[in-house]
Amino acid sequence: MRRLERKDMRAFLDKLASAASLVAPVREDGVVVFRPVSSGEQVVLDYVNPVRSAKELFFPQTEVMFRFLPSPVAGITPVQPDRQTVLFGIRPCDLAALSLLDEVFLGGDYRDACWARRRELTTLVGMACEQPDESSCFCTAFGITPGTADGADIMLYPAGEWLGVEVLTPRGQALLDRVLSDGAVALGEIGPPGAASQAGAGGGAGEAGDRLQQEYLKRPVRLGDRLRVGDLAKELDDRFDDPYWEEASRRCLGCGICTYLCPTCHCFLVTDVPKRDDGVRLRCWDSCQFKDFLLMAGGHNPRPTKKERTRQRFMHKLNYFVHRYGRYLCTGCGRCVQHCPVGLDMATVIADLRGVSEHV
Amino acid sequence: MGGELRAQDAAVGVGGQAGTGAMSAVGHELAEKVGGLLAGGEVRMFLGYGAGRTALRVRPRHVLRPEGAAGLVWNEFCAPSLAKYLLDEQEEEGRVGVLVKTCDLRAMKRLVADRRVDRGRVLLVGVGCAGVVDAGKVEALLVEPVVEAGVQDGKLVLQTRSGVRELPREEYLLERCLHCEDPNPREVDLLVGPEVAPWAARPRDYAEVAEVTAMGAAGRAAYWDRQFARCLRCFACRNVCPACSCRECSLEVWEPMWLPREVSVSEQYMFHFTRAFHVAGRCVDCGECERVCPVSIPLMKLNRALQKEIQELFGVERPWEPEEKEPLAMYTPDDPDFH
Repeated sequence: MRRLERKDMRAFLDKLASAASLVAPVREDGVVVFRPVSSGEQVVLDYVNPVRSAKELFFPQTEVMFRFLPSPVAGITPVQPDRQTVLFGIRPCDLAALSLLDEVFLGGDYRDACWARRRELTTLVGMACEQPDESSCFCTAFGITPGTADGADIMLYPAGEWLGVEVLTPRGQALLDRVLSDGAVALGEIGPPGAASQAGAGGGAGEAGDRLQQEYLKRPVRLGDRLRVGDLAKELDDRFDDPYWEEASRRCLGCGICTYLCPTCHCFLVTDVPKRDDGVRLRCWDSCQFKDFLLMAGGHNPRPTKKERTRQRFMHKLNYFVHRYGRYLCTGCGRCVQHCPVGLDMATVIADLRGVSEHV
Repeated sequence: MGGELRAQDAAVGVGGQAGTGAMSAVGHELAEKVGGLLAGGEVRMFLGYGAGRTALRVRPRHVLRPEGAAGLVWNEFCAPSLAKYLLDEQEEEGRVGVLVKTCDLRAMKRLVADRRVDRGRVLLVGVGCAGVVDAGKVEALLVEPVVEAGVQDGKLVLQTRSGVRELPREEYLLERCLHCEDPNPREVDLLVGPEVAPWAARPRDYAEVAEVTAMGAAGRAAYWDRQFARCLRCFACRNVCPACSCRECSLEVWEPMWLPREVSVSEQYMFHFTRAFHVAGRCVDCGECERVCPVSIPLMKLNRALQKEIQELFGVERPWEPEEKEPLAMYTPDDPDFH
């Protein structure tokens, strides 16, 4: 691990922006969102997590899959993104979410070309969480921590006046080489005498970096520590008919906030938009919370009421997905916890199902 | 610690988490009355509020059994309007009780006026309300969860693990509360709690509309492009809206597809403008759409702009009142523009 001075952060971001299309957290009308930026000035560093998750960089809400031409010149042209992108500031929960979505889009017999292409083109610069939100963050419930770097190409660990920079992949190294190539930004060593920080005091550079990392890996996340899921998936095998689902679902508004803010929800519908001379096939987000989500031609709806739809969302994440892929489909990012208008969120439901208190 | 936090007056109690905080006197009265209504079979269900995850949050609570009434709370943070839940209760026989503040009563009346809720099957329990705090605004200031909250001498007193924080209450109220003309709901079936003293309601001066108008055409376009670009199309604004009660929403119809599933800036305009015009003259000015929007789109600016037009063009003095005439939803043979 090496050391980036905080005062050099803007210059570092400027270099990232000149190396590739840079997407980073910005504050817009008081809301933090990932946006393409052209300079380091626009980027905010004092954020918990952008309200819209990082998934949309890889799985956009509306994606053109291909264009088609009508007969007699019938043909299909795939539409493929081709821009090298750097996503800066992605948090451990969203990194974990991308790896869960890799299971879905890349893991089986079928490889999703759109998802794969965007994953290949994007270098991920992760940011460890200095200050998780105590009322909503619960990553530790699923074994993720404020310092979990899995999936990042480069991980940054804030340490007061500086940030620890850890390169995790060759792609990350290539990006860093480009950023540092003209010498305008330089990284220092952590730990040698003179480096003023608790993490850096004493010991070799490697040791000090490890200590900083360890500190993040062990950082408490109060809500998550209380909600550790353990064997919940197994317990839920027998709770499909639990009266809880009907009870809880009564307060659901039937909106899509939870699914659309969720970094792991990935349902979509495919629709053709024909124009006069050509047309496009689109893939658009859809939500299992919408009442017409499973509506069939002929009028049958296998999930006719809020009970079935609420159960589906939570059982999918806490049981079905675990059976299929061996992992929970939630990373404790806390977006649903923060934004569900009626408190029917993942933290609440886990607490209710396990009979533990969610109050922190 | 809890002892430091007292109710401002009898009207607004200190809420708390179920079983931990002191429930207000009004909360106790409510729980008792609701327990009685359920036990006596006067209602088959009661819609109220239960404690949420932190002291700043409450949750809608559907009470089905008399013993469940004990979990009801009433405090400064009871923002969500419960009227819309009545649409889920149309099939089953029997009356449903619902707790209403003045603003919620307007929502109720809207649903009744639109023939979506049968007034005879609802038992309205009114509660005087001294104003509801915007929890999101408070949370933005704090890193630690609020474990206890209340009001003292006009100040919002928030207890977190590491200390007490005081905020000027009025600055953290929901905007709708500043315009509230009568804090005590009238024409209800039952009242809980004492009358709340009215305050000088701020007149609607449409400053928020003027602010956008002043941007000029290009500035306005850029402003709304940016707001709508954040829109998730999650439909929370629609689902929470008491004026949006169509059995089938035109925005979800496949044939014809008024609103393509494609999310682009122009389609977002289509979505938001369709909705704004659909509720124009029927919007009860509750602001729930804006309150629940997860990406903070200032939807009330659209609604207010139309409200202002309706006042000026049709002389409707208080278009947010469901009793007022609805110029965009009525027909008269003596219409001067009638052909």
